[in-house]
Amino acid sequence: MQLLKLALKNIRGSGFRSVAIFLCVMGVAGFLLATTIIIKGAEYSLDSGLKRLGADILVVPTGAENKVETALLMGRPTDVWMPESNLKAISAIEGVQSVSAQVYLSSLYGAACCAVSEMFMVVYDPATDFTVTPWLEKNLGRELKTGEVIGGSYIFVPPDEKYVRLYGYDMTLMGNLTPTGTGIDQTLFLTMDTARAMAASSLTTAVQPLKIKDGQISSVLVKVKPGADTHAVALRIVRDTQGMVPIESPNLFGAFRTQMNGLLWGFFAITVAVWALAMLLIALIFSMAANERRREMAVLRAIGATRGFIFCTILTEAGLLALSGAILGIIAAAGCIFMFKDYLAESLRMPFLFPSISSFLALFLGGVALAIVTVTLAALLPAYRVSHQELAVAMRE
Amino acid sequence: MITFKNVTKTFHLDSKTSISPVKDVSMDIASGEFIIITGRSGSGKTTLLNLSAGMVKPNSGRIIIDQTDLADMTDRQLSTLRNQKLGFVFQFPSLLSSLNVLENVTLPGIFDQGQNEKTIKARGLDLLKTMGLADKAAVYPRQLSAGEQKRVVLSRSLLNKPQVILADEPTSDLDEQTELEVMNLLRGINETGVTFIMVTHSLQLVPYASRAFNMENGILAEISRTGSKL
Repeated sequence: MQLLKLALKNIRGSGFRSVAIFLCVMGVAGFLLATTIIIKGAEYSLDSGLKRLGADILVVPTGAENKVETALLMGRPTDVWMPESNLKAISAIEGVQSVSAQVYLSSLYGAACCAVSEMFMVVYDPATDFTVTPWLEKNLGRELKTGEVIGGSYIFVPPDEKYVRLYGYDMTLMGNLTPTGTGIDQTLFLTMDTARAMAASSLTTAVQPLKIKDGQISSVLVKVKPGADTHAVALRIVRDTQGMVPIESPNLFGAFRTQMNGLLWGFFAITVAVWALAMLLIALIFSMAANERRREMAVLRAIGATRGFIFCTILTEAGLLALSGAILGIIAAAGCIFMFKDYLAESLRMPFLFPSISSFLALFLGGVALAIVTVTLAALLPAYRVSHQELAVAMRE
Repeated sequence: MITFKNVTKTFHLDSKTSISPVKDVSMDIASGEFIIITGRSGSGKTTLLNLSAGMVKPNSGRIIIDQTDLADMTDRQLSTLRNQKLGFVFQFPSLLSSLNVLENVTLPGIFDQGQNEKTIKARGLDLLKTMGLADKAAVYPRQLSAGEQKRVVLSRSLLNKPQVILADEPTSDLDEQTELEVMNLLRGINETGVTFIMVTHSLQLVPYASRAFNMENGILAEISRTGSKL
């Protein structure tokens, strides 16, 4: 019977103490991982969303920044317009490599002619687009024809239907983009030809016709030339054009990032407080347990155990409880977040994408390591005291 | 085998009060002896036993086991001594409740790096058989009677084939019949060459001793040799 076996037997033999420490570690590790996954998930989601847009600068009508950000972030439709001539003005600016216009539309709310209420629709220009065209080339091998659409990861054809019907116009869903956790997942992408066909159809097939303003666009996606300074290009757009605001890619969703940072610090403070309290509680439980076991440890010393063995036995018990508690806590927390991720994103009003397997594994290992270190630290003093106690005194108690 | 030379132990209860349960004790114990130390509660018997095992350090005097002064030994060496040369039978219930009988008996084996698990287990089972507890190997201490628990503790103390057994009131909470059984067991073990130092408040057990001592207020006095009064 080795040290590990003896530690396991001791854990089993001290049911209440073991369960108390186990639950404590499980709760704290689970809480810590849950908060980290939510924050990381939001960051991952934002990064995926930005990557999907593929633009260095997004140009929107002055005053429409928040509306566009909310639309892209949460998939809530918006109605913003600016002259199409802006596209030409931006493309003429020094440092701009390519530009592509997008038009934002929305399906009707609660109308029988629309399969989905208030769906955010992005009309793109296949000739210049760099948001969905790379995906189409890779997955479809051709451009979309009139009447064909692609959707974000949450867009699907209703059961028992063959088409996505909007404004009474049937469209074929040709595929779904990879999830980003942002509003892009709830967005339908279509060409101007399809949008115009839908608008024409809507005059007779929809409760209310779809209106597309001639000579108007909603936003311009800008790619800067390799080596060009994105910020300098954005400044030139401000200086040389009117009625438009450039949003540099890293600053996109800036308001949300600020809000998320606040949330992050809040979570961090709560986590540190919970962790410190748990550590104190675990230290207290270990201290009480060590006092209870003074005579037992003295007997072990009397039959040949060294101080080191006693010390290691208690720390091994602590480590085993931390390991099992942390593993179960983290798995339970991850499982809950995975199951309720949509509800979480909705209630916290933030985008969310479950982190990649490698990121999750890193968090998992980090969480387990932190739990082991913390619990072992909490058990350090009681273990030292009981391993260095006066044997004769302990045996008389 | 064990020599006490003018050993005194004083405990300081606070800055003004101190007690000396062992005062200037000198004694030579030869290999194979059965020593019984009697005395009232608090007379210093258990402290003397603890001093023998290096679990308490004397304030003055020397304790020598096999030509080695305990004062010269490190804590690790003392642990090895207790594990290899000494066996303990405690007054209080000393079995670990989370371990079954066999695991309790083989416990000293895990501190002896030289032995493998199979050998330890076989030795443990053999000892339990000798003690008439072969069928209790998988049972937990709470399921045993007081007499059976004493026999398990005795088995544990014998696992590493010690030269000396230190027994603190081994029959204190046993009925007459069980006390007789345990004492016969101890005598049987003593006859195999194992030295016994037993502490008891019962004068009735003196006849089992090759030498008996009485302890009063920390002072040790020999009262009998080979079971007859001096």
